[in-house]
Amino acid sequence: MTGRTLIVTYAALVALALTSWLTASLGAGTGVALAFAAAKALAIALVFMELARAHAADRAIAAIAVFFVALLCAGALADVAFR
Amino acid sequence: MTMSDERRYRLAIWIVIASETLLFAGLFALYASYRAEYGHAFSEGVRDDLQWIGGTNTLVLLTSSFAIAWAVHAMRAGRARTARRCLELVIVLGLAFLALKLVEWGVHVHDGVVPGVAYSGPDHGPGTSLFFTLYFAMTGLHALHVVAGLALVTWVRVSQRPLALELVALYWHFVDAIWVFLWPMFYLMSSS
Repeated sequence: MTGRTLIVTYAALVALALTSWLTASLGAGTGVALAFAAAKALAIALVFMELARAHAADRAIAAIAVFFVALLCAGALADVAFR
Repeated sequence: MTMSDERRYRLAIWIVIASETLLFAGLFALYASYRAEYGHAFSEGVRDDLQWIGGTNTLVLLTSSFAIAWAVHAMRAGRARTARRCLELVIVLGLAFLALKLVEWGVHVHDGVVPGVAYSGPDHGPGTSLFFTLYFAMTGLHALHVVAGLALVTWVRVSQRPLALELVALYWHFVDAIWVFLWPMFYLMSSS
């Protein structure tokens, strides 16, 4: 990654963090807060962790881990919803 | 087909990161389940956490992630001195994060906000102590990862091995990414 890309990403991360802090203080819902978190995590993974240009095996491992986290959380929520 | 040592190490660190992600996944699922069941207590519990510490720690960790990314960038460009300065900044920021966490835990313990049956803090109805048990479990587990990350960053600062720096940087970014989700879960999501 170029130095410029790293600086722009860092600025975007700080802007996202401050915006999510502000929107939460204005009463935004959980979906908004989690969407901001997902955007930040994606920027960290793609740019700082260089997943955007990583080996296919590394990208597959990361994607499978995220998929299992989502599956586990969805299962837990479904358990409460359909009890 | 053979793999180079670098490829092997990179694959290994991604497997470690995926395993650690699944360790946190269980706790994320528990949080999702209990939040769905005890929404009021969890929303009110978020208000009891120290917002300024959660927000400041987020900015501290994001900055530390940028600093270690810049260390990798500098090392690749042959600027070892800049890389060392960046790693020193990461260590300072990591210690600042832990110090702020300890302050918050101290305030909570003083107010009777402790995990488990000993909880004697504010009562927001059923699920209140569950929220704070998860708060201590998840922020505590994350803090242990910060401690491990700091040990690794200190080691690469001393050893100055370029590949080790790249692998440790990946681990540090992972620790940052976990916090990115813990922050809204315990400090921002006060609405249902």
